[in-house]
Amino acid sequence: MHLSYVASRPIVAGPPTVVNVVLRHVVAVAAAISAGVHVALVPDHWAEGGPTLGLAFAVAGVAAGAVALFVRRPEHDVWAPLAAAIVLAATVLAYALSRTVGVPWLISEPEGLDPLGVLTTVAELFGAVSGLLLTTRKDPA
Amino acid sequence: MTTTLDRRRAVPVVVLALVALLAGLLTMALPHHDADAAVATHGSSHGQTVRPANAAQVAFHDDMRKLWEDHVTWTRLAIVTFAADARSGATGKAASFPASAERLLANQVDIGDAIKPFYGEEAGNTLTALLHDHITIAVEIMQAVVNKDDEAFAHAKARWYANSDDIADFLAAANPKSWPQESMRAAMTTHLDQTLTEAANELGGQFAASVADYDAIHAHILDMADVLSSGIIQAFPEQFR
Repeated sequence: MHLSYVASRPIVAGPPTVVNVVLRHVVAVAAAISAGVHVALVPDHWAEGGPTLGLAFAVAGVAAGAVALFVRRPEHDVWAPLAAAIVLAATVLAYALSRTVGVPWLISEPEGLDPLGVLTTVAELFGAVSGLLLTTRKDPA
Repeated sequence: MTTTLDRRRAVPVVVLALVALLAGLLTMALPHHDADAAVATHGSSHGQTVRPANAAQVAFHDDMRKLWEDHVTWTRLAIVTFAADARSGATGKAASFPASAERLLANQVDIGDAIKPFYGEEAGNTLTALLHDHITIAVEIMQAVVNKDDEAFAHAKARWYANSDDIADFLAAANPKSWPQESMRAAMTTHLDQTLTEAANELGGQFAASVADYDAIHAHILDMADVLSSGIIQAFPEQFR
């Protein structure tokens, strides 16, 4: 195979469908995990950090749940994987900030790492990367 | 249009719902904050506090309550002895107020010392100085009442409430997450309002009312003590393991 052919090959050209199915499952499951964790944390964060922090967790949970539902279907591949990647990446970034310098308007003092948060963030990171990969791939017609 | 292939490729919604549900249940079952993994939150009239969950936290929680109970107890005794001395005209060694006042001032040093392991020597001394003024200005207020000097009373009262805000602001600056300025100012203002009422009733001979005032003061100060100990436990979890 000539090198110029490889370089000029469009990135959306037909990867195996099974890869897309696996990526779709990873994104959807990661988003579902994120949704469940964030929604479950709403009451505690509302109580500890006030309504703003509680609402932020609720929004993160609902957003993750929504992208999980949309990304699960191939017909939304035009936008859903990218939306999922953005939501999950934003959640990963928010967690990283909360553990380092704080999150503007939400968490003024950085907190320490916790096992649940780390595991959830790893899942979200896998989901975000899988979402991005899914945006570069297209199922065969 | 949805094809059979699409349906086969899609992630079942039931699976996602189960995953989210399990993640949520796991989250609720596990402690999720490193700082307060071992404590549960509960409300107080001045904000959220953590329930002490190990021996170190319980000891600190109790010590803080003791300090602030001392604060209101010796304040009451200072008020009662000041009023009794004023009624009897006792002065010098016959007066009972100075001994109570001395013990009350020592309590302000104790409270300042209590925060030094966390916020440092200078912060502890600053808090002691602010609380020292809190006491001495209160005495000025009582003296103005006994002297029936309205101008001195108004002046001292204004300074007393300003000092209260200074104390609240100092605490809020030290730990804004657990001790927000608005809450701390409100809590301190309540403490002053209650103490002023107690002093007025005691000096005015309304002794039963003064006793009832103290009950309210006691309940309020325990809330404040819990907010303070809770804030320190949350801010310095490594010192309570």
